[in-house]
Amino acid sequence: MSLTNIKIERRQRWDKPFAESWAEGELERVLDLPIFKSMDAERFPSQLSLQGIVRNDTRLVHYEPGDIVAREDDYGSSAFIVVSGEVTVVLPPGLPADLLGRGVVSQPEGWWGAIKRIFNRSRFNETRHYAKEGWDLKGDLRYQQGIARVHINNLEEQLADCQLALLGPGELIGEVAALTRSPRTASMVVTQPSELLEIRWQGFRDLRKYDDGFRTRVDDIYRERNRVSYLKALPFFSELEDNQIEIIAEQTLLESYGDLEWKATRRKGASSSVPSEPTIVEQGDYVDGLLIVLNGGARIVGKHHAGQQTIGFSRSGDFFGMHEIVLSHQGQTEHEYPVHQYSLTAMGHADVLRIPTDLIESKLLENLASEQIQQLIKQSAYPRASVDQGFQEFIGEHQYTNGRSTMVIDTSRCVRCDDCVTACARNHDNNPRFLRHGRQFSNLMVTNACMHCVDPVCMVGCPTGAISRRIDGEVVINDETCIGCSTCATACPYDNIRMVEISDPAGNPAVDAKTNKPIVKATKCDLCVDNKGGPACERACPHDALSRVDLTDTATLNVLLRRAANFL
Amino acid sequence: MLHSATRKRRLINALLLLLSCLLAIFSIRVAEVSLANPNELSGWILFTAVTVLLFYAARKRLSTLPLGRVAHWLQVHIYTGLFCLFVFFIHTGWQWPNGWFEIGLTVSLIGTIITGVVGLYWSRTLPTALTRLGDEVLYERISGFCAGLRNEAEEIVLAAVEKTGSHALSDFYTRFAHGALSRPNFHWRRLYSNYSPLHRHERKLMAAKRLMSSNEATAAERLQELLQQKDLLDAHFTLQGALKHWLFVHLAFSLPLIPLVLLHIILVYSFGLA
Repeated sequence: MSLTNIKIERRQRWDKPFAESWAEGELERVLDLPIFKSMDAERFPSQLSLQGIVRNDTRLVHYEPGDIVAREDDYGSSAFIVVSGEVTVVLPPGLPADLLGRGVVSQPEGWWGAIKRIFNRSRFNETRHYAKEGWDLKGDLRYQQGIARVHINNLEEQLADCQLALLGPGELIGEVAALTRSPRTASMVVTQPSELLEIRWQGFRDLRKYDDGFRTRVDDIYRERNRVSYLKALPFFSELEDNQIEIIAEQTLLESYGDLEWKATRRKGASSSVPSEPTIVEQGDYVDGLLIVLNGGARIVGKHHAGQQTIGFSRSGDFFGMHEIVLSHQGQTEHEYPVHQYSLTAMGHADVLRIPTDLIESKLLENLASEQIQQLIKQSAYPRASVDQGFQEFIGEHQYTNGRSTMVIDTSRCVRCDDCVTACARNHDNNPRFLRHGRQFSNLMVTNACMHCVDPVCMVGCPTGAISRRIDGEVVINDETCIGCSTCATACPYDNIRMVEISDPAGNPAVDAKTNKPIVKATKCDLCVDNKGGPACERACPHDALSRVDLTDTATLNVLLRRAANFL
Repeated sequence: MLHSATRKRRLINALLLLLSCLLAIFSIRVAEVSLANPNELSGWILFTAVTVLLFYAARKRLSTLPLGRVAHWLQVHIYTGLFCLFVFFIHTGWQWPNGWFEIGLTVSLIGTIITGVVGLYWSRTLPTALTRLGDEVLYERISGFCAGLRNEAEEIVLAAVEKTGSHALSDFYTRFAHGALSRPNFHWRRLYSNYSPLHRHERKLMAAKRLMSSNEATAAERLQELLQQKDLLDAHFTLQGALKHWLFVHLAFSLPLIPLVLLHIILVYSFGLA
């Protein structure tokens, strides 16, 4: 039997445009907006023309008074340009969580609540009391142009005590989230009928790449709105005066490496290994600046024999290059100038801030006492490759560095009793929120359980803000506002979110009143945030085989590996 | 070599057990000296310890309550069990009981403790053996995987017979491989040795291969791979099965213990101490 090639068309970037369709004359009207009019279309390559970007990567969205454009702390993936009307930015402390469609952060239930839960447990899986009672929301949920939106009733009353900023036509908003995929810093609502042009991050980045004016404008806004406050919040700069921070912010560069869509590559079976990762800095190069990982993750790599060895990992807020700069400043290096001891590569995707070395020396190091310098040398020292090298590479290969609370099972202790699964089910509607299954390195298994990532890509694009991050870092889903769109489940690169069909307490399946299709909800591990004792799975293990750990924490890993190796 | 935390934990627990035993002996001696009934005291100590053993099962079921880690409760359960054994022998005066009721009670208690120790030993050794097997397989899925292997093996053998007209492979299959592939097999010897019937099957297949045509030999190689996969599944079935099912034996001995103990107390107070 002979095999023949089947010729199919390769999928292209704009096969699925952002806007489902453009009404007649709408596209021309958008291209006539001053922001696009001022752009030089000639500077865009033919395959990524300005008109193509606007047609395929933007959409016009109409908002009614009370609609939420974006919520504070949401992981946005698009920016907006006000076309008509007005957007109200609600400044911190902002609107209450329940008004924004999120679950109210509550204290864990007490003893009485826990006892009541034992007796109130349904016989059926995934039962919900509101399946028949309707939405228990302060706001309404409404669909427009296929987009689900939480709508605030009595908006004027709700905003009465808030600090507000108004943005009119031509203003650009939400650019930081589109640029760095970081949480939105404020909520935005609409108080009058308004029209906004939403630009998805792919198009936004291309506009910034090919138009100098747009890039300058975006960077200026970003610098003005975010960079100063971000730098000020970092430990090394907390004692610097405002004007010094502003000078540093002025000269700080924002750089992006890798592919934001790394999860798609990962799904196809490709793994992340050092040679395939884009290099941010090379070992042995001159240290031209202090690097701060803003978003995503990076790997610290050192040359070892003919290959490269992972030394450690950097995540959001981590520094790279400080050790060399300080040592060089103190004259403790071979060269007269600082040289990188290790390379830094982007794992999937990384946004980094680069602060010029001379600024670090003049604004920071010159003002520090010798004890502080010594402390800085200690703090900025690179981790020694003390963890099992194979395990380190395993973590990097599958990008488990993203997790803050990864479920790891020591299979040389686990008796496969499934008590962890049973305990999880007892705490979560008789349906466990994880699978006791996953990739394994030696006797350590990383299971399919939500890792509560540092960079939770599952939160990008949730239309109702149902998935959010609590102040302690737990990523939780508000069941009441989850519309079952599967955006989060599709986005999770680790396949740790599951869509489940729900029923009422009597076991009757809940179905859509219009389509008669089952109502589904996104479910995942919530670290038992409502339970006073912490994660039930971890507490239920009779042999201490299951732990929730941060896989970048060298000390914890060493304990795990040593304990595993010594266990009978 | 044991991890220092494990060593420390075992040392502390052993010391606590020793202290509890000494305290029990001391209390019983005091009871003797003060002309009280020492058996009554040791009986109540034993009853209290047996009640403490029950807390572990209760804790496992009450996973919503903040009652601490089950692993800590298991330690209490294990050492209390050993304490029970010690107090039991003091209570009986190191003698085997002579009445049927007392024999039943003794068998129930000793059986509970022996199955508990066996379970503990297995829970410390079999997980390592399972990890060494490599691939993880969920116990509940083993039967399904076995059925898949058996179907594929039958298809291979039938196809080989149709293609070659020879019965060398089908003979081997019906005589040896069918039994191995027909269902998950539990091998006791795997629990305490590196036993595997795979080598025997492979040896027989090797002998049978000498009589096969090249087409049959190719099919035999695939059959050998299937036998290797089945052997792995059998190993999981045996080790995981032992880990899952010893608990039922443990429960079979421990469940009658509480009604028997209560009945024993009633009988003693009705006819003995009264």
